[in-house]
Amino acid sequence: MRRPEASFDAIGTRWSIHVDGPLDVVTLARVRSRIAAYDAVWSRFREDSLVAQISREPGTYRLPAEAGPLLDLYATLARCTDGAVSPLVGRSLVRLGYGADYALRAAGDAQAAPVWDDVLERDGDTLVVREPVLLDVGAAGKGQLVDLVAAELRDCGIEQFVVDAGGDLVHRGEEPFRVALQEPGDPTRAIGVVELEAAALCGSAVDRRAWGDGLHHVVDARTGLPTRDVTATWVVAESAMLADGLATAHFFADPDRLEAAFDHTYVRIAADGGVRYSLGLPGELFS
Amino acid sequence: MRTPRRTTIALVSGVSAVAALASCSSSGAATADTADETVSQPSDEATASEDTPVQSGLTDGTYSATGSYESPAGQETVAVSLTLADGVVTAVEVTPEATNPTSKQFQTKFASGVADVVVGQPVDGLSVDAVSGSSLTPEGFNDALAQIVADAQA
Repeated sequence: MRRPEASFDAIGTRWSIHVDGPLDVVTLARVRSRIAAYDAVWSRFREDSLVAQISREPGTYRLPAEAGPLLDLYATLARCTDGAVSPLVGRSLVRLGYGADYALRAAGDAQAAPVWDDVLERDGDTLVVREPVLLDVGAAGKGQLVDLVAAELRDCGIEQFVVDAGGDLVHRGEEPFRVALQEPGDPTRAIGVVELEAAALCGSAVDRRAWGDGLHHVVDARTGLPTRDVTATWVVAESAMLADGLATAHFFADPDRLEAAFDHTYVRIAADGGVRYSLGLPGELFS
Repeated sequence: MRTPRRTTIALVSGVSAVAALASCSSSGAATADTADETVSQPSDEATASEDTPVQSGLTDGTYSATGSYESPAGQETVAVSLTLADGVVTAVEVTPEATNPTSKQFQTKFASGVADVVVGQPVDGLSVDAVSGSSLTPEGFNDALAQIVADAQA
């Protein structure tokens, strides 16, 4: 399982699927199809997605099944971060230059995200959009998609596997998978290693997806400005969706508060280089 | 896990964690574990290592206290040491003292390590199966960034 059986590019990142033995074409087709279906709903980088439609027209929308757990997680993360984490930061990111056209130039002052209850109302899988709003599920959506791909593999009878979407991973099986934590700013170095076993690991860092002075993709919904205090986070949790969402939340909230609310371990690197981490982290940090 | 040599403080903030429980886990997102114990305010065994009493202003120094609380397994304690400099908390050290294994687990769960700095090692020299950092960026993003750099140099 050390070498991936399949690698491909999708949703703008490199995917690797590690299984014991060959990955059959039917399973791989299901995986690709699941990713395409998710992208068709949630991508804010394509005009034909559901998210793009919601950004243009008010109305009542039927959401897919994965929306419930995803938006519930966002709601809890919003409470834990006093509103800093929100799925409504789409226009804030566009204002900073990170839109579908990749302008990568700030267009005027920062724009705070709207408050959920002011513009949206959700009942189960029905979303009432009172004002057009640009959803961005970048904080937890990719992790959720990793979980959904894992579910496809399980449905196809595969019990032991690793799904790696550009460094966001889920591992199922007995033999641990060793993952290096990349040093912010230097892809050739690592600040530690996590031994991933029957768990998910997601990271978030502001070094690579940055496009100008202090401009990057981890944005505080309350101000519309990129956060400055933290430069990188990693979270190990039961699901990739949770790990991904918490990796973003750790940019904004006191770790104790998040540890009290969610079972997970974390590493957080502050802008001054200082590191805080869970003593229970399955792995080691180099210091 | 190997504890970093340069760890400056190890902190457990059980009390603040329990305060946080009330604030963001009301949706049921809290794990079942976290609600089994409640930590009361530390008892009055606090002893300041400096003589000046803390009144309106905060006096710098290191303060220690032992908090006790009633757990399902009986009375448990946790030790807290806190350093104030210029009126700001600069270090917190909490030592789990629970005797019951479950209580000890809860006290340890909220333990964090802090390191001044981590020293990166070359990934090539590590025996690893994958690397996790910031997500690989979309090609469109990288292309646009390259274009902007080119424009800036023109």
